[in-house]
Order: sequence, then C-alpha cells, then structure tokens
Amino acid sequence: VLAGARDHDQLPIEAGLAGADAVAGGHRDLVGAEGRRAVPTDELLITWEGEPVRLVIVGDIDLDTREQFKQALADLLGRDGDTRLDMAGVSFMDSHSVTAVVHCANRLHDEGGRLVVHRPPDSLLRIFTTLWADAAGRWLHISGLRGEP
Amino acid sequence: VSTGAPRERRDAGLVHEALPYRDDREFLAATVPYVRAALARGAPVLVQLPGARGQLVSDALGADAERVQFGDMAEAGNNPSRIIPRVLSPFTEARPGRRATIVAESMWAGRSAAEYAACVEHEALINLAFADQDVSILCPYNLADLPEHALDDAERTHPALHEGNASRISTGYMDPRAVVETISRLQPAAPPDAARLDFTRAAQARNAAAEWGRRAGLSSDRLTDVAIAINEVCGNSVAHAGAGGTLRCWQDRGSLIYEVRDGGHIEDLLAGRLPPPAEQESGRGLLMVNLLCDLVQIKTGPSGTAIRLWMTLPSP
Repeated sequence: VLAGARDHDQLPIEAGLAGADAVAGGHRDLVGAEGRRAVPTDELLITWEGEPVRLVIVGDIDLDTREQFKQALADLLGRDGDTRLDMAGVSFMDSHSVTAVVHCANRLHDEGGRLVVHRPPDSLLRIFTTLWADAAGRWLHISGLRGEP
Repeated sequence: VSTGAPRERRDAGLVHEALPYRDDREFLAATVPYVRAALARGAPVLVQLPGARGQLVSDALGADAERVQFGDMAEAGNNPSRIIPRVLSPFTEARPGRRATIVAESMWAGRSAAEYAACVEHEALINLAFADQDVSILCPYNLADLPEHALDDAERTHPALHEGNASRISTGYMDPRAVVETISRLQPAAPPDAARLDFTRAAQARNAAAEWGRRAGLSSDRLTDVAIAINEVCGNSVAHAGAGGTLRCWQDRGSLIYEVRDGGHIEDLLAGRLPPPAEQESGRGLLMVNLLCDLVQIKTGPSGTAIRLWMTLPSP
C-alpha cells in the first residue's frame, strides 16, 4: 500500500502530455487501503471505517470534488474521540481544501477531539507549511509521511 | 530632523518615501538617522535589505541595532509579490496600534527586467495596501547600480522622496492603478512555439504543467509547487471565467514560464498580496501562487486575464 501511494503520485507525470486529457477526464487505477480500484478523477471515494472513525479517501481534492470532501469533514463534527483521515490514495489537494482540513482540526480540538491526517499528499504538506505553519495550524496532526519507510 | 510639513505627515497614515543613494556613505547617512529617529519615538523598526547590506546598517547603529528587526530581502523578497504578504504586513499586523517604521529595499543590481517591473508594481501597490495604516516605509534605491530610469520610477511610485534627511513631495507620482496598467502593457507576447493546452478542468492543466516541468528538469518538490500554483490559477479560470482557458509554457533565460489566459477580470489589484482572515476558508489561491513561484505577473482587464508564473530551472 505504501509503495503504491508513491507510484500513484507519479502517475499524472508518467502519463505524458498527450495523455493529460485522458488522465484528467478518464479513470485510472489507484491504490487505496483496500486494494486496487478504478476512480474517476472528478469523483472522490470516501469510506467511513471503524470506531474511532477513520475516513479512507481516494481521488484528487480540487474544485470538482471539494464540496463532497467538505461535507465529509462537516459530518465529523460532534463525534467523540480521535478521527483519522487516511489520504494514501489522494494525489492532490488545493489550498481551499487544506484550509478546510485545518479549520476542521481546530473545531474538533474545541470539541475535545483530535484530527490526524495520515499519509497526506505532498501538496497538503506544502500548502500547510506555507500557510499554516504558525499557531493557526497547531491542532492538525500529521502522521505517516510518504517518504518514510 | 525634518521640516514642518513632513513632520505633520509622520503623525498619521502611510508615509511611503523613496531614498535615492549612490554609495554606502550616502546610504548610511540617510538610513541610520532615520532608524534612530524612529527608535527615539518608540516605534517598532524593521530593516529589510538584500544580502549583507543589513549588516552594514547594524554595524553603524551599534548597540541600537538590538532594538531593530533585520531581514534579508534577497531571500524573502526574491519574488517581489511576496514582500507585502510575507515581510511588510506581518510586521505591522504583529504590532497593532503602533506606528511601525520599515526600511525596505526591493530593487538591486542583478534583478531581471521582469523582476524590475514587478518591483515597480510592488512599490505602487504599497500605496494601496497600506493606504489606511499608520506606517512609515523608506525604500532605498541604489542609483549607481540600477537602470537610468530607476529614479523616475521611484518618483512615480512614492508620494515623497527622502533627500538630505528631509522629505520632499514627489514630482512624478502616479495613481497606482495607472502604474500597474502601464507595466502590464509592456508584457511581451508569448513565443509562437510555446507548448499549449486548452483546458476546461483544472486537473488537465495541472497535470500538463507538471509534465512540462518534469521534462524541463524541475525537481519533484518544484513540480508539487507547479501543480498547486497552476491548479489555483486554472481553477479560477474554470470557476470565474466561464469556459476555462489556455495554458502555455516556454523556457526563457533559465526559467520555465507558464501563462494562463482566460476571459475573466481580476478587479482587486491586491489579489494575492493580503491574506484573508484566518477563519475564511477561501481566498488564498493567488497568495499561494505568489508564495510558491519565483516571479508572478498578472495582466488583467475587462477583455481578459493573463497570469505568468516563473519557475527557476536548476542550473545545467
């Protein structure tokens, strides 16, 4: 699964320019926590698992999928305990959706809970460290960086 | 100590002055008394100069240097669009209710023509960004190293000039909007053989941009930056400009340049230069672009928008 996340990161690039349309508009194989499945890139696959809650997310989070993602975050509020977003199957996030995660972490903290983002995409880390490295982002916990063995 | 008129102006609002100088002696003869006067008023002082020039001021100030915050402008302000959100605003916002004094040199020899133009635009936009704030900003211009027209550009973008340790009204001051418009008219056309993609979804554009960047030799960290920046700009094209837009890419003097064209119009000249309130979820797209790219040019009007992003290529 971990190696798969790395391959998946490279996929849009390896697909080549000629394939850019096909990659963006079509289906591609992604490796999620439960194995291989085809996900259209304008859809997000969000699976709720376990107690404490674990959300397994597969797909890109951008303009096309952001509302679906934000709805899932909104549904986390008001629950007890820690929540984990499993993002090994997410290859891209934009600044708006990363901000939504930071805000969700802050609200869960206010409620006495904790939000952990597991194996986030490089784009989340870059946006988070650029915009939220100060106190405003201190309640978001990140685990399982992809570069680690 | 300045004359009556400038002293009055020091008490309220923005005082944005250019400081023309020709050598270190002139530079120190102006900046050191300026900083000392601010310290004597109890003002918080930031001195943000390129490279080792901060050390020059620090040495001349002696023990007073301990009450001054120093920063390297060559690092923080490499992309001039970052200077307001990353240098000036954080300093004033961390000191609410106090009149901050800032010495900020944004131009230096070695800046490319595109960077120079971005600096002129940045200096003009300071007048809008801090229009309602109590802050003094002194901008040194090394006339010995800068292009001949630098003094004219300083007069266009600063309401006042600091000369002989006094302030005089600028003779050529222009409305910041007119400065920005003039600069955007100077933008050369994209080369006809640039790579091109007409996009209707942001994912198409960011994937193509990353592929072009990979072929040009950008590192994987920089490809992440490209994907984030292109996604923000092209996402705006899709969300606000209707039918998407056109992405182009070419190499020029050690940089990879991306251009996004669409039919939209960005009316806020300060877009991407001032962060929204922390609790606001949207509105950080162009700020991210400014923070991640090495240079950003926004040309916008009722007939459409062209945004260019520079990514420095690793030296061969």
